[in-house]
Amino acid sequence: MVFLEPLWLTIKLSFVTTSLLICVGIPFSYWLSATGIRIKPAIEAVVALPIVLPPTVLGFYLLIAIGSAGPVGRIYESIFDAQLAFSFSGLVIGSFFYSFPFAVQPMQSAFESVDRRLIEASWTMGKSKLITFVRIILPLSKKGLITGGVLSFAHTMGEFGVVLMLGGNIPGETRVASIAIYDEVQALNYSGANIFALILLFISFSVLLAVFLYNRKAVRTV
Amino acid sequence: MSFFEVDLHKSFPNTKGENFNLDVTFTVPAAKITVVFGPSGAGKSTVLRFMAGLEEADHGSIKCGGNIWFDSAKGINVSPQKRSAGFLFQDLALFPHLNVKDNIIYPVGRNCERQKLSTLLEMTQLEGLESRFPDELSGGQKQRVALARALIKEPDLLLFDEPFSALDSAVKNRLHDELIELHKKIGFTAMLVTHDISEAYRLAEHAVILKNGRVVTEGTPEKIFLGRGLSARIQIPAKVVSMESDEIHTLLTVEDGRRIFRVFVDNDEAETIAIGDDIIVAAKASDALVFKI
Repeated sequence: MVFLEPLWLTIKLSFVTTSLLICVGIPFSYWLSATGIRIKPAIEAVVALPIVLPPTVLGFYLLIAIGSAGPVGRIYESIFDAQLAFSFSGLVIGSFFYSFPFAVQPMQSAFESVDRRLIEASWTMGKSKLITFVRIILPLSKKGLITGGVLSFAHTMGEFGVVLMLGGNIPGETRVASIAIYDEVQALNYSGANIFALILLFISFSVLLAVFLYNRKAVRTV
Repeated sequence: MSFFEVDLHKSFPNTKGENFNLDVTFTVPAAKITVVFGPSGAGKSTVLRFMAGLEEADHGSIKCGGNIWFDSAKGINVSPQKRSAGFLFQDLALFPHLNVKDNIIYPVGRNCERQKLSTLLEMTQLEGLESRFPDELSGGQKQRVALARALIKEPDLLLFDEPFSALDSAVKNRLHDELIELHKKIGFTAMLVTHDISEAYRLAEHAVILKNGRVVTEGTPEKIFLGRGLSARIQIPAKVVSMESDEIHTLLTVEDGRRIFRVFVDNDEAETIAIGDDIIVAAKASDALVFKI
């Protein structure tokens, strides 16, 4: 049970974050792939920032934003009468921003690689932009969308710095597996840390293996 | 069905970054194949994209009887979805994730009449290939799928953007015959763009010659191509190296990659030709002399 709780929390956090990233990431990355807006490079740079920023820097600014004194934190508290920082919801926000580029970049590349003429062909056949998106663009970008989703999931599972900054170490609320490993090592319980580490290693490897196998199959069929 | 009246003008940078002025006025007769012929960079494909609504002209109009697809003066620009135009792209643009049947019925959806689909499959000789995907088809079969897909919605206008250019001549000739045959049966209105003279002459019932963004001439293929000797049996593709004119004739020095030779033409004929142009030197078989050496 001691082991299950952080693992369950990690998987729950990964699922919720990935679901949110898919919902927001697909329309956002499609917009980014299609837009000719002049500040596109600046937007892309902002999206990619979490890849190069130390997680503690991102975590720090997010903590400022969602803490009780921060703008987002104050609004949240006034609506829900609860603290956003050091809660599961706060972790979801942190994970969302931290994994955002891992979802958006493969999705954007996939959308950009769809042949423009296929889209135009669909339009000339009387299909609206929405129908064309659903029936042509999405299926042809499937590989990139799945890669984005899986990378987000795997990345969220292994995140440490942002989680520590935003969530601390509250059992059952914010103590995810990566924090638990850190705790066990601090307590010199290497065998306990090893169990968490092995399980995370196994899940991450399985998820990545599944996506690589799927993509190999997808290359043959599409 | 009425004929299309097209009057389009646009200035835009070409692939070399130079300003290109497209200024065309022509007609597309109903139930005929109109061929827009001209060298690369003449603006043929751009005209086709205007017709489909994929690009917008600076000013002008596209009218068909009472229907207006585009009229800059009235602020009308009907979207590609509502134009009732079928478009055959140069690379065909078959959807790679859909099989032959799903590609063909894509414009009409799942409620496509079974009889209509089987008639179309029969006419385009695609029976038995319904469950194949585009990457499992030959070049000719892909062409037929694209044609069937463009025809299934019975559009008012079919637009062909050099769809046969990537095929070898044997397949191309066979598909030309099939297209002519299909046109006889269905009688669709079509506009086909090509830079291949023999294709233009073979398919055209009405022809528009385009050069540097302007219509050089328009009319029946007999008037246009025969007048220019393009129905000739002997045709040598060549490039114009130099031109010298007197009051009546122009002496063209041309090269075909292996040799340089000279050709006399009337000044009228040479009017649209410039140094560096790719041309076809043509002669009727009856005009040719053959010597044994």
